[in-house]
Amino acid sequence: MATPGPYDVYAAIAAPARREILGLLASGDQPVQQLAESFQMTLPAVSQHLAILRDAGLVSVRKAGRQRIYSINAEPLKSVAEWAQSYERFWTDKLAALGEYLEENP
Amino acid sequence: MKEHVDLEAVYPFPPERVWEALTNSDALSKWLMPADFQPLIGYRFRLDRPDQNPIKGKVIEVETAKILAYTWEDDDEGQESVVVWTLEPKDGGTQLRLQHRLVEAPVVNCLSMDLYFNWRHALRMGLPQFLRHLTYAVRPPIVYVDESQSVKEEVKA
Repeated sequence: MATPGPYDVYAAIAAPARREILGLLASGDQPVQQLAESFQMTLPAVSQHLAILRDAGLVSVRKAGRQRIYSINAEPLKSVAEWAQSYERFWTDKLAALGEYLEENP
Repeated sequence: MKEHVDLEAVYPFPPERVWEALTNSDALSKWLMPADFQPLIGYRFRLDRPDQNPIKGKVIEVETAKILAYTWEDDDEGQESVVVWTLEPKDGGTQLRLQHRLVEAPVVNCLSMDLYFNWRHALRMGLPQFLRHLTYAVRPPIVYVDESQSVKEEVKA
């Protein structure tokens, strides 16, 4: 599977529910049941969010007995931050170029 | 973590002059990239880059000398983001705000949704929330009544 790009990662973190799930996982690994209870969501609803987060590479899962334990992987968030940083540099240069253009063509 | 670009610049020229520089192909070609651009909603523009596929996009909001928004499709990346320019007069010049955001879903419905929603309201809300409202408008969920009322109230305000 291709590495998720900034768009995939952003789509995964755009939903508030999934941000909250990531926030909770940031404080420690959690079994899926516990996540469902924390958010008062049904198990299928939480599982669906977790599947999207997994596809984006933002969470990983391991089995411990009968439980499925989820943990956060923040690495893909870098792709979003890098996207924003690279366009911020690009547009900062372009805004300066726009200023020069306006000065030269009043 | 930074997820969006949000920059401001002040230029000692009136908004009409800055607007011209943002929307005229010849002007864009000088400070941005060689451009085929028109400030018309729905217009598909292109910006040529050396050694890379051109940037393509669609104009989704035009309010002369005030707001310009378009999708930004980088073929090398395969999906679209959204660029929004906001111009405000300031001390005889122009305060220009640029927002460039990733979106969680392609911006396909904005044109028709303009009939129902005020784009400036969307800017205040932030685009992700706005797009969720679009989804509701296309396929109303059960909670739609509450959502739409809060939207209408804000639009009126």
